[in-house]
Amino acid sequence: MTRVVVTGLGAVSSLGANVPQIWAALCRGESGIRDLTRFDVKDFAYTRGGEIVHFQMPPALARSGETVDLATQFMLTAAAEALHDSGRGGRDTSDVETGVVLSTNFGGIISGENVMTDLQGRNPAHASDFTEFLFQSCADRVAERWQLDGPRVMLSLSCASGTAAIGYALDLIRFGHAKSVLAGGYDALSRFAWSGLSALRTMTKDAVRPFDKNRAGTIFSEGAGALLLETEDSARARGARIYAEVAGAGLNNNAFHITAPAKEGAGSAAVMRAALADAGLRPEAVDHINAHGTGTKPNDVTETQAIKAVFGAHAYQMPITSIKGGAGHLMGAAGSIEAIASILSIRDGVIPPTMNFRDTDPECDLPLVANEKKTMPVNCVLSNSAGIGGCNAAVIFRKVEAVAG
Amino acid sequence: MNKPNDKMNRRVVVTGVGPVSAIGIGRAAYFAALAEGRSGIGPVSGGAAGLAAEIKDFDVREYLETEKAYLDRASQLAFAAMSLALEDANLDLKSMDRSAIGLILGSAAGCLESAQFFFGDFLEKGPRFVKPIVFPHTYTNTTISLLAMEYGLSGYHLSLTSGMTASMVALVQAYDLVRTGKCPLVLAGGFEALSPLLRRGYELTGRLSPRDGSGPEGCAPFDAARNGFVLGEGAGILVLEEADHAAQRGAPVLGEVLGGNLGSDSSLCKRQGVALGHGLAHVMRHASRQMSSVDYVSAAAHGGPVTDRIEALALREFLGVKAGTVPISSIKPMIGEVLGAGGALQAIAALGALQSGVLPSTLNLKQPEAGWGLAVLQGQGLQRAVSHALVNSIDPGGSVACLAFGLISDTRVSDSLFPTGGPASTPAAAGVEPRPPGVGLNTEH
Repeated sequence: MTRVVVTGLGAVSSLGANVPQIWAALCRGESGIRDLTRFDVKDFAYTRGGEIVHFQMPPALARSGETVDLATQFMLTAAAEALHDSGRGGRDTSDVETGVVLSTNFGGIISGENVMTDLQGRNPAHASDFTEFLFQSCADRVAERWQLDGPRVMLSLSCASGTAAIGYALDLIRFGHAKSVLAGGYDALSRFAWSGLSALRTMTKDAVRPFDKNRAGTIFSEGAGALLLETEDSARARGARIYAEVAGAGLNNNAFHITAPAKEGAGSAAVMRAALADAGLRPEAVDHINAHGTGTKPNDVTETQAIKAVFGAHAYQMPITSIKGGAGHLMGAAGSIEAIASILSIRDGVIPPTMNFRDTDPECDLPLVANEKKTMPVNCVLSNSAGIGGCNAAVIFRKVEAVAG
Repeated sequence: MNKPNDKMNRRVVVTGVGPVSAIGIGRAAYFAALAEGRSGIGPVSGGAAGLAAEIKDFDVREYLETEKAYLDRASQLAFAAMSLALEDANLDLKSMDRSAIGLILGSAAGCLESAQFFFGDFLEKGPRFVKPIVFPHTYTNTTISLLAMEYGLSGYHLSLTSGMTASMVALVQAYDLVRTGKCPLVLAGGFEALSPLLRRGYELTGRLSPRDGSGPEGCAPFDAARNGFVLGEGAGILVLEEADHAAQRGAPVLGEVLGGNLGSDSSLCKRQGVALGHGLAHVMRHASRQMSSVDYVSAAAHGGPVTDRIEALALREFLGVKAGTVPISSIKPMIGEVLGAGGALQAIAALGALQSGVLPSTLNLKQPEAGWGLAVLQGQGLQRAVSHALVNSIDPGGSVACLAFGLISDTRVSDSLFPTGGPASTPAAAGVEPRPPGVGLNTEH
């Protein structure tokens, strides 16, 4: 089967404006959670989140006379970094062999709110409010900026979106539809999402404490992450730096409940097994899990159960971490940024810490990289995700040895 | 057609369809309406100005396994399509390993009715008064996730939002998953519901056929006087199944999927479509490369000034010397521009054409654009037995997807497909010379 590798990374979040900044902040255990300023929070129950303040899209990405939704601006910024990082940023001819696969929960919802407000008989909206609201417009913009004229696909799988985009992109390359794919996830904080996520009561006014006994909920953040995937042959032929192989992925559904995790994490266990089978790997080959770890009571315990079900005794030999303590939960971008962290763990031999951890939960007793980063060789990482609707996704990255000569 | 079913490239057949559209719900009603050339476009109900292809007399409770407290209209249409597809394919899911079955649906806009309902409370009452029960229904994946719950489908799960190509992208992925042996069976298609928010949004864009009297309102694909599209709603789910799996359970076979491909053209809109059909032509060539001929094309054309021209140019490039003879039609004047559901409803219609030997007409086409030289079907449908059909899907933003279907020779037309008394009775096509069956494009790819 065609081997697929990652050759470029890009990201923007409240922890930093690019991958090096975000990776350094994650490893230092910094927090990107702050008082929200985007909208008036006085009537909201929760007022702190991972907002990107003073965001400025690189001027080179702007087009005169064009209104671009904020979430799409995040995605364009991350895409630019990933393409530049891969060594192919400057291309300006049509590239029919490179696809674009992006994922989001809410897409251009800030623009969409304007159309909803218009329909409610308040302020009139503009045409661009609706076109920017349409999911596909973000992929259109990314494709247009770099003339990426291969398959162009948007998907939405709640908080498993970012991971699902990588899994779907992997398939597109294996099935022969593209030689490379820019896979990304993005979301912006909005009144729409914040009021809904507040109403679901999954958030906390405390810090996010993944796997902690006294964890009380998650906190949502915004941003985007992008990975350039390509065939190993293509990467070798152009002498590109290879971060890691995308060894396999899985997507599934709990078929259980719209917001509650399945009992014993059955769906999550099944998706991790699916990813292992897809990669042709035994569980023992995995030496680190970048967990979904939202910091909610049900997620962290069921995810722990799922990991134990799949990995057995090996689960206790393998460190896990959740970056959501510092980064918050980036919604549609969560899987993308966690994939980037997983890949950089392989590159640097460093696992970023799970922040805000204080007390061990006997139900969450796997070896956690708590509060301080861990230095160890990492060859194979499984990044795990889950979301509303009972969606699960997992992807496995593996170290690629340099080829001599 | 008799290629072996090798393990790396398994044969994929369609064993059931669930169409839900303004011209008919369920296979028999939908096929009959297509053959008759009925239009589902009419005045928008509820007093608003303009035209739309609305589904009327629809009660989702007929299609539900369990009672639901709340379902967005988009989800309702998808639930109906699912129930109909499962019944049509004679599938008893409970007797199967449901973790092996895939579920992939596409929708351009998702559940906008719920979005407006939810955010209306925010605007009128404030953030603390929004309805937590409605919020999860604003996620686009909620529709397929609810279907997974309803039917215990714990396998491959993907929700696509790729604009007007969404359901075609879903079908291409389903085809690839079955072809490569990753799933023996995938339920795939798309859904789209009309809502005041969707209508308001498209009114703002100016892409709809005008409602302000500045021109005749209506959907006239490939016509010189085309001036935009008319929104519709609907859903379509197809059961794609590995051929041996279908044979083992004695499933009915409507047709074989012979190829699928995706592509895009980032310069599509900027350059007004001049000579920019190459991307689409390439995708059509790739999708049809296993077929000895293309006998019929179901076009995506919806009456858009630019996208119809691009599709016409692409068809001319792709069909080459056969451009003037291979029949082409668009069913959008019947079902409306159903956005993300379009590819799936076109795919089901193409299977109907293969099965019945009646190629649907392009309603409202009176004056074909001069110089395109395409055999676009006008007037009434054309009675012609065909065995290979290509289905196009295009998003105005520049993405395309195509799927190729073949008829398996011993499965053509059972009369039971047409319970109302057989296919259209007076087939005749203006602009197209009727040709004997089997004449088509020789493959040059």
